[in-house]
Amino acid sequence: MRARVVVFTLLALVAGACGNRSGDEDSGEPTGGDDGGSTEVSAGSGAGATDVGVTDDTITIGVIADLTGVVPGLFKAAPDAVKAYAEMVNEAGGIHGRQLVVEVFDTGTNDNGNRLAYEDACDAVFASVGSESAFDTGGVEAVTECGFPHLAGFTTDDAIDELPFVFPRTTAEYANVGPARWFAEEFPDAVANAAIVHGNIPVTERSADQLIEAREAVGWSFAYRQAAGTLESNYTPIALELKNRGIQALTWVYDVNNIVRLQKAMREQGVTIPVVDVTTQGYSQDYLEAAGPAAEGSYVGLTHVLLEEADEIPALEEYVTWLAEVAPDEEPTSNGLQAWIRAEMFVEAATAVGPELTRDALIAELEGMTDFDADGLIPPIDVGDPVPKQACFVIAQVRDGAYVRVFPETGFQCSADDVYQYGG
Amino acid sequence: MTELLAFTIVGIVTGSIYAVAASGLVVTYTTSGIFNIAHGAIGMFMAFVYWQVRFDWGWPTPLALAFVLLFAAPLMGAGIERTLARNLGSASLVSRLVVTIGLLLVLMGAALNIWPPQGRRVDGFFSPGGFDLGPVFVTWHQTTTVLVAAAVAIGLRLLMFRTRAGVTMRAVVDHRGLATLAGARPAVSSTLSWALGSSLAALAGILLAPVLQLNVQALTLLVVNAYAAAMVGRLRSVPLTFVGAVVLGLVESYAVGYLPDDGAFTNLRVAIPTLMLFLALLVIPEVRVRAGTTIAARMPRTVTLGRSLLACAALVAVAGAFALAVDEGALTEVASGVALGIVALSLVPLTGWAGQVSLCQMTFAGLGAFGMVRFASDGSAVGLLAAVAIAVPVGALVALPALRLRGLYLALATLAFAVLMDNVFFIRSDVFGNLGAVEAERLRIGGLSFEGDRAYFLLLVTVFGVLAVGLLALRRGSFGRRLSALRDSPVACTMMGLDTTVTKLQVFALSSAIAAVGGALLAGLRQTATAADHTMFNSLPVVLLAVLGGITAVSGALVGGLVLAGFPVLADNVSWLSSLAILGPGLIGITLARRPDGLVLQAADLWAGRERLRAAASGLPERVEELGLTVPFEDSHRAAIDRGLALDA
Repeated sequence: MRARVVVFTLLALVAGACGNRSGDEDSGEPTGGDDGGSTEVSAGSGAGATDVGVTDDTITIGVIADLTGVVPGLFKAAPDAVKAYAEMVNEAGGIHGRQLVVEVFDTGTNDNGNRLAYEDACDAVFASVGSESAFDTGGVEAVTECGFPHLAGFTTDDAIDELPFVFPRTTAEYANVGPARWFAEEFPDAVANAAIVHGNIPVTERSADQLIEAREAVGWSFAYRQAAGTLESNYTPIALELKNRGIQALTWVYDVNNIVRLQKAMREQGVTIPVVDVTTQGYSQDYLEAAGPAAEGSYVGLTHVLLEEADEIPALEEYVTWLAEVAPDEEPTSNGLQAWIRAEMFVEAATAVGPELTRDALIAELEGMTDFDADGLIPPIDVGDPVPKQACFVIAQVRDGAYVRVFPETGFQCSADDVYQYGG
Repeated sequence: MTELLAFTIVGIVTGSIYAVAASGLVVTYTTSGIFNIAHGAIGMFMAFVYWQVRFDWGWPTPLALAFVLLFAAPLMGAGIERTLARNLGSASLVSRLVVTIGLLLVLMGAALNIWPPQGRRVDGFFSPGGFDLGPVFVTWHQTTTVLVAAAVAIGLRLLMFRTRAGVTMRAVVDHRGLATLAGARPAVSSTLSWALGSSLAALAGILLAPVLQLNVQALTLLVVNAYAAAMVGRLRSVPLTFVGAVVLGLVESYAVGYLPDDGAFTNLRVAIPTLMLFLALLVIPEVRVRAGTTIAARMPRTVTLGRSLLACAALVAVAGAFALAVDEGALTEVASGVALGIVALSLVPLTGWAGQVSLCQMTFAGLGAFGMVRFASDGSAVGLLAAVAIAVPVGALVALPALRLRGLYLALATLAFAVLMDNVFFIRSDVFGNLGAVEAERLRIGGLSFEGDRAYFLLLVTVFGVLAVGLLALRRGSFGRRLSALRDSPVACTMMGLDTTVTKLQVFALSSAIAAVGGALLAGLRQTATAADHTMFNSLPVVLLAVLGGITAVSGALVGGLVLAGFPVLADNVSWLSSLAILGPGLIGITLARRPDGLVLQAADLWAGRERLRAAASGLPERVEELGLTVPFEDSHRAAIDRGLALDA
């Protein structure tokens, strides 16, 4: 009896809730038309509904992210950041009299859900802004067929990178070897005896191959490479191997959980490695919290500002304050910052296009944005060109449980020489 | 030499962790007769509770430990015993597995919701100190682990054989009735053993958490590794379990030190626990088979060919009408249900009719998807042939251990197989690509393409119908009778000269073929074939929902598939319960103990009004409580019986 009741209740819930599978609207407050560019007195652009997701007084943008499923809240930072940006823009009057409305689509943290989310989003929103999902492969066809402006926080499938309406354009052919070169110049003896630990799944294996190639081009020499399973029961043997071989520089391609376990095992066994490059995975509160004292001294090379410098960079301060408005329990994170930057990119381009806002016009505008720096949050990039003209970085280190800037003194270190092309 | 010593020490420490995890499992089994698949999940949940009180709320360690080990964990164990396990003592194996698997999923889902993934720091005991033992620095936490494991092994042995409580626990499992007559109180004893088992699970979780970090999947899965150790002890002997655990730890440790660093060997290294489990299952002599059925669900009536064809036609017609009435977006969800129904259908002949429990159907589905994307990237029907051609030999291969194993051991072997495939096959880039996902085309037969959502939905329904009709036809023939014989009594089969070997091979091959077809079509529906969809964890809800629908009825498979596909839809609308896709099937699983027949058969009974008739006809109540007695059975009654039997009080 109980089984039947449980099932019928669930089915009733499903039936009752059908038709609203993924909507989660969140609109900013309309403030009444103070936009400076339109002739209307009240909110409204006067141009009417110029494209999908655009009405006379709203622009609807979509954020497709991994929110529920086997790893709940994986990329929750993305929609929160985009909503925060929309709040800020709407408070200031919107874009040419139109208020920015953010609709969130949940992929369910799997490939099929990614596809369904993009299919839903395509007909409902003007553009995808700040979308972040680890399962882009599932949605490749849906995104390709849709053709809407796709300002993704990051992409995980090369096929998406090649689409002409994805911004900023990126390519996997080039690497930024700036941080690697800095380590080589500061610690030449250490990088001559380096090791890399990575996951045993194909994507991390391939990333490890590329990382080794790029770093060896600037003076690193990898003496030890170890693949570790996701559920490696004990990292002590690997830590001992590092000690036995006298490794002086360490980096990896893995998730925070395993990085923490390795560093803890290293700390227990008294394995001191002067140069530990945690890569961007380690630039998070999760890592600092879980690793505790084991994280001390770890380095990271970033391509955006340090989140700790909010009081020095007004744009960063904006992200932090508006995020606190929209999602008070959220911390500023790297992923959230990337989504915020995409939102800024979108708004800048949409403002430049004007009231006659269409998808094609926006795409053309983005292609022409050759010098976008999100008000100092990132070094200037050419949004429409996948081939980077220069590589920039900033180095930070964990000291007393928090990240501290190490190099350069301010801003970013940029050089065209730090652009490395794989395979040559 | 120092290297060998170093790795040996590390191996012993790892082994101790396995030992603590495995001995709790053995205790539960010897004292309740139920192999608690959720054992690791209990440990994981309690590890999170420990983190909560110790590190988040800042309680002192002794208080936190006492709270978890002496209050929270036993409470959970007792609760599980009273609500779930008490009914399971005489239930069939399938019922027991379904309930414990359901519990596993519920605990995982609950943990993911209560403690969403984020960095949580867990320090080991007395950390960070330690001492040097030769070339290795042994932390106090590691020392504690080894000592605790040894204490547990010795303590359990003493408990089980030297104390009244322990002997009672074992007696109650051996023969409840006799034990009661001798003065034992089975209810209390049962509760105690589950409480003890839970505490041991919690202990393992607390010792493991600083090593593995607080990660739901990692902590739950490590106990799967511990099954190997438990098998070495034949699920009976705690000291042998300890030995098995240490051997496993040592082998794993030496593998890191002495196997080449190359990627291919890493996968081998990761697979060591499952390989050892296989070895243990095959080599260690089987424990005396516990009397009891594998599966209690009754068989539905046989259906004539005419009626099954009519039903199939009706199904396709209804599906056609449905497809036209509903918009395409909602249709894909239902189509998912039908595709999952095909995979669930593979369990009907295997588990429902032949009584062979399999927990790896999604693995076969994955092989089917692999065949489809790698041999027919344009979606031609050749892909389906490839899917079947790959799955059938693998199914037969899995059947080989089945020849020797029965019941629980077979189920565990299939579980180990699924984990092995996850670690060694599905992560390969030549299987599902570098990112673990490959684009899949929808089926194309000749010039006819099923690209559209409506067309593909009808294709799925038709394939399901055809397979169902085929299965029903098989059931009417001699193959069906052999399956029934296999399910009822393998011993009688052998006595009568029926070759169980061939029958088992055939039914495994058939089942894997159906699952492969389901997997190939499911990948086409989703237009992606991913490794993540075919993990061991994905096979578990399929079993649960197949049993819910009715594991002996082909239409039950469809019901099960549809319900399973409903959960992600539900999850979208219930965003605060973000792990509903795991929690839902789990909740369903734990309610299935008393109703082994499944929804379809119950519905059929209701329809025919038979439930009333059957109850009236049998005349025997299921439980003593239903006899309508109003006087409780007390010590005075027991004393009277003792006197009557001329036993001294």
